Amino acid sequence: MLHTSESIETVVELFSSLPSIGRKTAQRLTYYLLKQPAETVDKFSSALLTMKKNIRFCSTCYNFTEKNPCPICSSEKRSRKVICVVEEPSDVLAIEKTNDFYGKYHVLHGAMNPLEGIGPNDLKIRELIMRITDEVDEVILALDPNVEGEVTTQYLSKLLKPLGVRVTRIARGVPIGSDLEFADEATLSRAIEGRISL
Amino acid sequence: MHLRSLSLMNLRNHDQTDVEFSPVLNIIEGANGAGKTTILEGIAICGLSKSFLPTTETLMIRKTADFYRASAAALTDLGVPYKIAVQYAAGSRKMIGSSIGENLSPKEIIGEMPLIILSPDFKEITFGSPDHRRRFIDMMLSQASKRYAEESLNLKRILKQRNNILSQAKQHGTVNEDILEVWTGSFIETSAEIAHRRLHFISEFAPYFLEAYRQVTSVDERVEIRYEPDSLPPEITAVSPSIADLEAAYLAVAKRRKTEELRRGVTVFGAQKDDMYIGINGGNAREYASQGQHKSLLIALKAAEFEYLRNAKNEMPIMLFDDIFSELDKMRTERVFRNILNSGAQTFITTTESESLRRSLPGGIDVAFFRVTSGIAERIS
Ligand SMILES: [Zn+2]
Repeated sequence: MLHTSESIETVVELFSSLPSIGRKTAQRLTYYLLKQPAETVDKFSSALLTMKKNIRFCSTCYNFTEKNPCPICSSEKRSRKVICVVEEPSDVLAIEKTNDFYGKYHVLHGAMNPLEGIGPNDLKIRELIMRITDEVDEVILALDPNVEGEVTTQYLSKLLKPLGVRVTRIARGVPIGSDLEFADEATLSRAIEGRISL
Repeated sequence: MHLRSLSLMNLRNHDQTDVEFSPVLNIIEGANGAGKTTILEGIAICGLSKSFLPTTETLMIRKTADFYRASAAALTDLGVPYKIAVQYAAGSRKMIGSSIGENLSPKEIIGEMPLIILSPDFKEITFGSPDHRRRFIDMMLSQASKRYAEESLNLKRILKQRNNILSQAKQHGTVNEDILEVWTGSFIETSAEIAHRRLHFISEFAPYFLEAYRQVTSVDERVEIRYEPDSLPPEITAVSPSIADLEAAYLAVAKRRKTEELRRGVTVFGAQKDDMYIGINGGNAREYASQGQHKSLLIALKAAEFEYLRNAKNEMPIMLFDDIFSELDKMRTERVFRNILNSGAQTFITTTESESLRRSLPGGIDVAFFRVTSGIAERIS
């Protein structure tokens, strides 16, 4: 890198180490920031530091939080009878947006993935098992609909069932609000397979 | 379906190519290495998200460029426009957008523009190793069913994960039984799903194949085709088994061969090892067919693929023939040619010399000729 300075190159390297950011995008972001006034860049760096300093894991559900336990775990309005298990904190956000789930969460921080060296011990599985007390009636498994999510779902189901808790998984189905004919064939095929009686 | 136009950017030796096609017959002429096959590859990228040749994606990007792009405009049989663009830059995910939407995954576009491809590489289907026949089935079924495309990608992924566990087990001499068990379960479920679909497929495909072979050859020869699963006993596959039957059979194999898998550190059974048996006059075509019979079998497989896919999709597939006429004798060429033209499918043929093809063309046909020289395509009269 002869035509660029070392400090620019460092920032580009840092940006391109982020998920889904390629080198081109990293360069674009770097040059954009370089053109901004010092205050803007300052806001960025202090916001990052503040976030890192204040955010920790909730010691119950392992979602990110500023207060421990997190607002959801400490809320009296939310049912303790149901725990919804997800892979990432962003999944909590997605389900919260529905405004339809009144139980608690548990964040695994990933799914089983041998190729990336992620086994059950690298996930918050032991912590989930510890939470299954008499007052928990149901565990909803809401993992990603891919190979790794599916296998983790099976693994958790085997661990949880002997504990006498009802284990369910979210349905794989057709998106509502559009015509059936516009649904992806593979999704539709699975939806037919997973049909339920009325 | 037929293609109206195709644009290529930085694909192999094509810098920028824009061509408009005849809805019937397109003959693309050029010397070896001129870039005529690249036009067919561009069409394949638009239909299958990747080339039909075994190749590395990054090697398809023109030297000095950092991405390639292929885009096409087509019309369905009902006259509905269909547009598709696929762009690939080294190190990033393929960007796919079509009339269906933006940011698509390959499985969302496979089959939208059904393709039948015949290239000299495909000779291996009738006399090569089983993977050539599996690829033949997979390419056809993935176009016919999105669910199949998805399951077949899942099988590859699960196999990779499971092999990783087994090779770790071999290395360390120990394995976490619970982890292996769930991956085995998932592997068996997906293998059974795929084997079930392939078994059902062959039973539908066989009559098309037998009929096509009869049409390609004039002599009376007995051909047969059947699915040959690697790890399942014949008494199970003979009686149109359910998915549950297949799962139970795989589970038995998994138990029986577990020690072997742990010792070798690799998966030794499953749908990724299956084969398709092609027989001629009572023997295995791989060993018994003559050169001429191999050619006829291949053409019959492709003709049957055309009929099968047309019925499955209710849409006319587009035919791509890569330099295949140089492989055929005059009699077969003319017969194949006539059948293609009769089918009404849009056809693309690459050739090093178009003179003999020109001569065998019936009059009054809507044909477009193209000449490709060093990555530049021009329409000629
Ligand atoms: Zn919490």
